[in-house]
Amino acid sequence: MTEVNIWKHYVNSRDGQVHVLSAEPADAELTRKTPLICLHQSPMSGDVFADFLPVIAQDRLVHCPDTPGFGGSDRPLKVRSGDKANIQNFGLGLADALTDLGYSEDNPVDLFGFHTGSLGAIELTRARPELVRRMIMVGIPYYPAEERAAMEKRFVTPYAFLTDPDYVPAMYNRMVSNATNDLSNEERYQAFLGRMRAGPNGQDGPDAVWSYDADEGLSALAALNKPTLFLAFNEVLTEPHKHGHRLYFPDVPLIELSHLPMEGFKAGPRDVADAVRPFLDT
Amino acid sequence: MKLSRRDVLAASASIAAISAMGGKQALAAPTGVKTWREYARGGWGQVHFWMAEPVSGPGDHTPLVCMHQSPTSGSYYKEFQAVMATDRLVICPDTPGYGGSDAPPSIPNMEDYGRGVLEAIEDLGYGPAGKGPVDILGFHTGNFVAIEIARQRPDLVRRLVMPGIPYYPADEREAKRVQYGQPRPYFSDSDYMARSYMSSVFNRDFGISKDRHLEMFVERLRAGTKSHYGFDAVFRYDPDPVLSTLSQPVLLPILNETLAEPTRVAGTMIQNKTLVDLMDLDGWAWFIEPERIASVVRPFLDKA
Repeated sequence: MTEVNIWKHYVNSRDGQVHVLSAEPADAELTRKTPLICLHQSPMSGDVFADFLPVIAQDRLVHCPDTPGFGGSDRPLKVRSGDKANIQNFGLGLADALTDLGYSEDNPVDLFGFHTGSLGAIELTRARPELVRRMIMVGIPYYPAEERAAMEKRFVTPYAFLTDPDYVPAMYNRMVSNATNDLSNEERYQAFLGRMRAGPNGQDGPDAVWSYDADEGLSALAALNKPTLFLAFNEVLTEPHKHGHRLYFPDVPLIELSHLPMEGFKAGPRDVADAVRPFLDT
Repeated sequence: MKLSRRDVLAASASIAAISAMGGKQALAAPTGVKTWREYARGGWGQVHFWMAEPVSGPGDHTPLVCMHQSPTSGSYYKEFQAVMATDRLVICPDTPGYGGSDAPPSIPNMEDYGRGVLEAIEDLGYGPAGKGPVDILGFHTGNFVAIEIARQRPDLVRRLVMPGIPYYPADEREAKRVQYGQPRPYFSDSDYMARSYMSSVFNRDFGISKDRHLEMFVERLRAGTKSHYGFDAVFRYDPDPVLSTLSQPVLLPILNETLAEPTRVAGTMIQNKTLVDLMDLDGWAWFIEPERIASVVRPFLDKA
């Protein structure tokens, strides 16, 4: 493996600062490919790609921004002013961040969007299509309108950090003490910490996802004709993801990595890199 | 709803209106203070900073660096920073391993912590070959980091403000190290997180909002399984030779908290010191009465 440099930094957006975790080969001569932007699920941060970075950044610059309002990034101004969070705000803030990183029509990027990040990728691309060369979509939370409404009713409830004394202890037990996944205690703790950092504002994620008109977004993205790859792990959003694929991108390749769980880029970073690299390198 | 001074300060630090500020994005607050975060190279990788200065620019005052206690982060000083930054740049680093700063691979010495932070301050451009020296304020662990920076690079430090010095005789230090310098039982005690959360957030008041308690609790959690490193370094550190040879003027505000008496004892060893009694304030004054602390710190720092 080539040595990879990993660092953290801030860039600017209309909403304030966006925190970015970045990586590139230590040998600058190897950084010849189009840069890749990895967009995380909510309520986490770019840290979820920490295991994927050393693998995918072997031959390219990779940026993992924290979505506005998550990790170390400032919350969207409109949300701070009382508006409900929406995917469009996330996309615009991330597009600003890419511009501040120096990307443009002459120097575009590739996108890898996971869960909420896949919707953010759609809105980023719709807002600034010239910034985006290719897209990898993973775990799109695609549900028809009536199901979205049901999801909104089910998932969009205030996070009870400060109202229910059992809320945080129960979350810790679920995610760390009593967890049954294959992650180490340290990895479980980091996942818990991601949710704690988002705090009550973590609700911005489900707020934005379940109020997002995915039909309108996916059809608009399809009309832009960006080269796109669909990737699927074995997880809760596999079927919704494939449903969206069938409806709006039936001619686009879909690679199923069914042996990998939800955060497949953690459990099998090499498998994911091997699956996406031929598409990105085309 | 009546807003308290605390509410106003919290709002001033967080309500944002964007303005361009060179290479960094500023958050302009109603008080005329803009805040931002940034990283510098130092220690075991990168050191994270919470920055604040007047919207109109830092002015001629020497920048103030505020070093936090373990296991918090530079955001501990949010309210105090907003008050002090009305006329100067105020820099609040996260000590390596805490907040957003990269952690050492194993338990460091206080000398290592001092070196790590001073490297980052230099990387920000301070020092005799750059933008000149800084003033440093510490609290608890932060005081030992401060005096290590002053010892290693006296030309980098102009003045010191040292409330809450964790000064104990050698025979007591080891007992304290055994008590505090142990890994927290995140994975071996299934009730530890619940107890911590209840005592640090849910059942805690002290006139501070639950949101702020939660924010500080989360900053503490970021140190994770290495959260005891700072405590261990504090209680393995012999400050006597350093305290007795400090060349900088030192202000010793005495707050009514657990380290009041140790601070007085440490003060007997410091030659060029000014002791100020603030015993009507406890350790929560950083959050609820920062202007009271600033009222004694600012005149001391503003001396030539």
